[in-house]
Amino acid sequence: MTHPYKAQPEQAFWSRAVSKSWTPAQTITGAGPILRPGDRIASAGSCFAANLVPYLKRNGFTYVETEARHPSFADLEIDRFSYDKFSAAYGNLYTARQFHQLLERALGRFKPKEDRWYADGEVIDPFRPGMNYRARSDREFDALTAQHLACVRDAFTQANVVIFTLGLTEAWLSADDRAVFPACPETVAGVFDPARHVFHNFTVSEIVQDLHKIHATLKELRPDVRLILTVSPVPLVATATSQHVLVSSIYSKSVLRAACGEFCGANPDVIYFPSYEIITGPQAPYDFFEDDRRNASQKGVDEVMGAFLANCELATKAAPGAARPRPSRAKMLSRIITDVECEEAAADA
Amino acid sequence: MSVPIVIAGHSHVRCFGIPHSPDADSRLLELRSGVFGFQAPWPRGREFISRVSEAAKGAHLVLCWTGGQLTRQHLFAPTPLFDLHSSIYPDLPIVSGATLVPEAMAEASLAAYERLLGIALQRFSKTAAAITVIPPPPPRTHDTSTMERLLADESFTRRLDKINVDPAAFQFTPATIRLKLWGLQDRMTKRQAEAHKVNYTAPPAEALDSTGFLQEKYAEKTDFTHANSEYGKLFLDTLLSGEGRIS
Repeated sequence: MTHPYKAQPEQAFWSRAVSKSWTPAQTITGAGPILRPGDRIASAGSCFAANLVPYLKRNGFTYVETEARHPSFADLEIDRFSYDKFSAAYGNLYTARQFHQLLERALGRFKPKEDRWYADGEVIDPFRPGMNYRARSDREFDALTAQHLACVRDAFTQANVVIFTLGLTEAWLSADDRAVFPACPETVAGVFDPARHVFHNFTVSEIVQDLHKIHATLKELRPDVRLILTVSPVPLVATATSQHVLVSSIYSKSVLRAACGEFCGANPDVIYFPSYEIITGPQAPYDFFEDDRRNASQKGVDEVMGAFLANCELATKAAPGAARPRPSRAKMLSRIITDVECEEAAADA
Repeated sequence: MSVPIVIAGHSHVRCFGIPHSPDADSRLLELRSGVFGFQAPWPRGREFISRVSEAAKGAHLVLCWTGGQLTRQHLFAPTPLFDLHSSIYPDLPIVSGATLVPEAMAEASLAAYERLLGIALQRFSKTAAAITVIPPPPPRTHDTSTMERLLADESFTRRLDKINVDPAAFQFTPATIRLKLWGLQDRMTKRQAEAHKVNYTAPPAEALDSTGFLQEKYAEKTDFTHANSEYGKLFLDTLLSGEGRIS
């Protein structure tokens, strides 16, 4: 009898799989393609999760979008915080707890006590604090929030594949009910109150529990759902711990990676996709990050998505509806009528 | 001796009796004693603002500038339909099945109106003795027959044919939504009046129905967007009677 390494494939050996013949696509192990034509895909997570959307669309996959900006307002300035980039306009969901709480809110089972902030005549959504266009009354806020949560529910009911990118372990919670905010109050909007807002650094076991809850809730919405997990390679913008931000970042990513490993080990049907490893591993070139050494470069994202798509069964042509919404024909007709009647252009002055 | 009143602006000033003539020379037409309308060629060119500025020198300028952006953007109903909760008309209903958009987003779609009005007021404040700014008229309700009649006009059909658009496939944006949008534009008018420390006069209450729509009898019969001379007369009476700010 010989030792177990004798039976291991090439990819199990650093010297053969990394030092030489580095092929990112080989980092995915498992039977069958990650995605197949006809899959309906939703994504959520940190900002890195938004990067994959154009690649999916370009390669013919159907990306579920239930809350795209209304076409009559397509030419307005886009939101700065990626609300337009996900399946519904939830923006970045940095922690597993935040994602699970969003699903629970969409199902009407969780209503955060601190669910709105007021400033300058506007009502701010603490869970989407960077929205460009805020409600001006509680009534408007309630209606817009209800519509948003219905869109969230629709997105995860329609999608048979959900890609979730874990981004952070550090989070700010409401002391009232442990509702997780995407950003520390006052950094984007709101007012920080040390009596109401508490810091929490999620542990591996907490994240694993949250992933189990996410998985169960997604299956409740769609029993045949397939979950794909990734860890964002983007370091923390700042840490609230006493550690150096680099140390906190590596710790945070390590915790997330360990949680994914433990969760996937218990759920063989869940796929882990190693975007974090491809961008940050010792094999990665310097230019996989921008000069700030924080944001992944286009080259890095291309490599990640190349590896991802190499493990997908690609459709033959691009799916429709991949472009940003365009001004509607009704709007065009409105302009024609006005121009005929007024013989003037708004830019006259 | 009171200062002369000069009414100027884009197409909505036609209701005051200022002819809409493409080839007209720039000139002041006496509409009533001491009240003048500024006539200029159509379409308004870039020099229009200078001409108004010159015509307003030492006068009380009544300004209706650039007109109804809401009509230009939203006269016809998009698919899907959108609606908004209005902070100005909080009692107006939401159309069933419409996608809600934030009022702030709807307002942003009309921002060109406010920007251009601001530029104009800044310019005219330098020459006019006083300024009263007025909003375009509120929308009317529009019934289907009005729409069909107007869309049959050759001036529309020719252009629509060119871009292969069948107007029968479109419906008006529901009147309640257009009124909410008009409310936003009216608020912009007031805001700019405040910002430039000039007067603002609202449309005469008599011309509106109980909800705030322009009554049909004050609507121009041959188009979708403008008020008629009856409205202009009523508005001018309001301005001159002191219910507005000119007296």
